[in-house]
Amino acid sequence: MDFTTIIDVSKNSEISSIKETITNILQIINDPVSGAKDLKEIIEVDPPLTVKLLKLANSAYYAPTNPITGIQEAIVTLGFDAVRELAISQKVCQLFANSDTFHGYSRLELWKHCLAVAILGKLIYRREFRKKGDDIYVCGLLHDLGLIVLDQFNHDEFQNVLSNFTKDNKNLTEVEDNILKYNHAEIAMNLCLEWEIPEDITYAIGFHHKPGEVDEEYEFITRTLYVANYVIQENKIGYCDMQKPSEVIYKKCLAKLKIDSKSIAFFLKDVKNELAKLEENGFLG
Amino acid sequence: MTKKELEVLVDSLNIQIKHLENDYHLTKEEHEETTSQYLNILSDLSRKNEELTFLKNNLQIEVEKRTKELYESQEYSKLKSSELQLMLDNSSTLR
Repeated sequence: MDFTTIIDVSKNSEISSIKETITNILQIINDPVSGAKDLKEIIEVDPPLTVKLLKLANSAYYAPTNPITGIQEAIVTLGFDAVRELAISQKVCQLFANSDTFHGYSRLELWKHCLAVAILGKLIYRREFRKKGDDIYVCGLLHDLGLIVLDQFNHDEFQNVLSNFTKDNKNLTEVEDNILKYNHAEIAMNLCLEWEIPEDITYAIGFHHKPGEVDEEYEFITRTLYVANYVIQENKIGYCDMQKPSEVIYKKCLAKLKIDSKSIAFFLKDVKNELAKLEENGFLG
Repeated sequence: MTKKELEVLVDSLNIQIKHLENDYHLTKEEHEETTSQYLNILSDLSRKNEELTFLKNNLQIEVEKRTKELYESQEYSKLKSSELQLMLDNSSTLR
């Protein structure tokens, strides 16, 4: 299947169902006057999300004095930012539901990887740059969306790619470029362009394996995404699509972002704790 | 502890302090936002309560007014009915 066909097929498929939630929530994030009520309107039309939100608000971690039964009340209990993240991640998570494993790949493992990259990216933004990190969180969740598209719409060739990936000591994008003449980062970037996702997120996703080639305007977020992706792959959290991640690019990114490499170790523990908390509450699959 | 080890420790503590400061700053901002959202919800609730009380009171007045009207109309009907009965009785006597 060629590149144009796969984009056409996926943009008209159920994969596009995440577009609305993501664009609506990003709109709320970027609108200073929006509030819990706007977020409530997005959540209340999605029953599975409503159930998960209420379950989390009533969990032992938050231990409310009286049971929380309303969405707005849950938003206040959990915090506006946490609920925004939950809403986006649960919507994206629906795409990772099929959990067949082949050549070491499964959607569930890929989901763990994406979630870990999103959490680490956000921690880097918060603690290194004092920025909220909503955009980098979305980047982390969606950066490997192209793999889901390949798995779903070009399954046979994707299996061939994975089989070669496990045999050759190369990164997945190199194998994809050789066999398909395009790669998962390009698929995800083109879908985001179709969905009119903000440009910084779109280009960071498109260049997440080659941050040095992105426009200067999007360099900051793209390099942060590379660092988060590299660290999560090196620590074997979830599915890995880089058999030989480039330490040179990683160090160059750290230098450009002015991050001390020793900082990363402090973040990892928190990423693992956060993932454990999500797993405990049934948000990991 | 050697000078080198101490330097490493200080370095590590400096990183953690920077992380905590940044996180604290953002968390404080987020708490302020959440508090303001919470206050908005409270004022919204209080406004809705006032509206409800107004409607409830209005409804009570409306019910009392309607009950009075019904009672008066019932009394009027009774009166008319007895007048009619009287007329019928009189007419039968005349015949």
